[in-house]
Amino acid sequence: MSGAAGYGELLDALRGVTWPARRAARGSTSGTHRSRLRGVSPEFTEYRPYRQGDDPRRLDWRLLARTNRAYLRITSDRATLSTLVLVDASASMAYPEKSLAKWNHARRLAIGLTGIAHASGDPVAVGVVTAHGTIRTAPRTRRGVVTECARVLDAASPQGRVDLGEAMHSAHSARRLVVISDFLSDASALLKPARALLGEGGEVIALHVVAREELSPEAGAILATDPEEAEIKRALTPETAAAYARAFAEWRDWLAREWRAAGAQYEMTVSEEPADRVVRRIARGEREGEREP
Amino acid sequence: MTFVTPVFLLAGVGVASAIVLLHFLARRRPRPAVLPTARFVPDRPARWPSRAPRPTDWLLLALRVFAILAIASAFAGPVRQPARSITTRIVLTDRSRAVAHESPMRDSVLSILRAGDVLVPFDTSVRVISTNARDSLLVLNRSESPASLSAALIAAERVAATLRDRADSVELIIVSAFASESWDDATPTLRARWPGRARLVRLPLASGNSAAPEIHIRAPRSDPVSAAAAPFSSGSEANVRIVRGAPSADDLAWTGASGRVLVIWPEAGPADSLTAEAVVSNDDILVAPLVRRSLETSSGRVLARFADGAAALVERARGDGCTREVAFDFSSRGDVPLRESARRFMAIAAAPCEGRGAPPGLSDARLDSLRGAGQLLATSAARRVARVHSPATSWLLIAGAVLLLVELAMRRRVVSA
Repeated sequence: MSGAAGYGELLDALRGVTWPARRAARGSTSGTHRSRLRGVSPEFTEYRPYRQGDDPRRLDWRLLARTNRAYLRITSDRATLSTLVLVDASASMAYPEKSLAKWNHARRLAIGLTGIAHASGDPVAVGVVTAHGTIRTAPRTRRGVVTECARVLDAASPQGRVDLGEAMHSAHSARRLVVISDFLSDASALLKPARALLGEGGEVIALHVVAREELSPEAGAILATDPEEAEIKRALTPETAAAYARAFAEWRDWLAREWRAAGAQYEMTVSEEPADRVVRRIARGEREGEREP
Repeated sequence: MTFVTPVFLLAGVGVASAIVLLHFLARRRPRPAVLPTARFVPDRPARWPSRAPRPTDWLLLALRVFAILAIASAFAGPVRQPARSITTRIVLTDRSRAVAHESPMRDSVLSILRAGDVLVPFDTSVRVISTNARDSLLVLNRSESPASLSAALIAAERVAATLRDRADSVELIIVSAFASESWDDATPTLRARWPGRARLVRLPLASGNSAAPEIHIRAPRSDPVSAAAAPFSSGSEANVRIVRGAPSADDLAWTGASGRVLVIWPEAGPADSLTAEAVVSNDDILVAPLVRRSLETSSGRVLARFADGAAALVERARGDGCTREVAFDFSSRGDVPLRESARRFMAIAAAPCEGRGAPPGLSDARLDSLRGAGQLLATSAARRVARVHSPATSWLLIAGAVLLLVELAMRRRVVSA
């Protein structure tokens, strides 16, 4: 894939999809999301009697002159939501080794989310977290930003170990943070920066990418080797396959519980799942398995 | 090639087959593959039993199989099956002091010995020479020990037991001087245990060698001639007397009796000088610094000569005995009198007079009993050997041990890889 052209089919499938904020946005720039600010927008909502302490500048002076009653003119503001999509480029994402299905799926999800955020008029950026640091684009709303994000993603290759937590710490300028990863690094360390952002009124979406081969490894016996920790070499045989599947499922359940308990949106996706369907699900704020309307 | 206990070989083949089967059902390390979620796999030993379509680790398999087969073959006792002949000879060869000279002994044996025959040289000890007997015979020397026919017959019996697989019958040939000292009380019994006839080949009997001479010497112990005669030293009743310097009238009168030998040995003065000399008598030679004198040889028999041909020991008949004059004296310094060559010269000087001292040989009756009668010994009648030791056994055990060591090193390398 080269630039956004390689993702054309995906972006076409997502045309018209918007990504509304789950909470009132705090941004001051006029956008499409409901803002937490009141009063400066010309969009009228309602009148409210003046109370001591209200800003006198928000009084409807014409109504006061006409009726001699002091009312405030209540308006709803619309704001933009700065969105950052962080993509884990650790060695564990380069799996399976031949097809790189996890990495390709993560890239497509990142471009899809970037596309719908951009379509919603939000400044959007992509950060690729590599073993040598995070490669980030600047958050922009202008045309061509999706292409720019696609180029950064295509230039990266997953390898080594990455510090996803550090990348999340430095993403404080974004009000909506998407983390696309397999979370096989220290998952607990990611919850702290996520909670901080959520506490500031931001949104965090944890998108967990799992390869089909990880859910159901090939039949027979292999000496399973961790690509990030070479000392982990264990025999995955028909005898140990059930215990492996059970341990992996328990860990996924724990991960989902932790992210959701922190207030984040957690979604798990298998590498074979169509990326546009995952993106739509995230945009609607649904969980996996919930029926599409 | 055959095996003494082939059951060990069969057991080894069984174990080797089991090893080959186990290689088809080996506990193998699975194929390595990347799996990011490997941490969720239970941490158990990374080996599991699998049925291989073909054995892996061919080198290890070969080492194990060959090691087992080598050890099993060693325990089975491989024995080389020699070519079988109708008759094989056991040649008992007398090399004792009773044999006059080595040359007749060698010639007699060479004329008898054939390929495959067993040569058994004997005196009081016995050697068994089964291979390259002719070459061994060429370097076979006469010893100074007496002969023992009993020892030779025991050896012959043992050798005959080993010849069961090589020949149908065994011919016993005894090449000996048949001195009377070679016969002892056990000889008739041992001969009776050999159920076949024997061929006797008689060698010339050494004169005076059938028994050690007994010498009486009138000289102080510090005298070098006295030191050389010490092994034969005896009292005044001895038949051999050595006098230093000129003999007295009594000495000459004593010599007249039958069998007596008077050895006149000159005594060197302090002014006499030593010269390097070699004294030769038959097969014996004495090389040493000596004080040399000249001898009159016209009326005597020369028993030993210097290297230049001059007489060194001359015998003259006197009555029923004889006198012997020695033409040299030992140095009063050095160890020449203590050497073996000096002792032999002393034995020559003290030997019985010519024609008078021939030692007695075995009587005709004893020779007849030794010769026996009847057929040759049938090997089927010989005692069966309880255990046959083959040199291949040791080599097979060593090879098995080496292969096991190599297998151990290979296995460690494969496991660590």
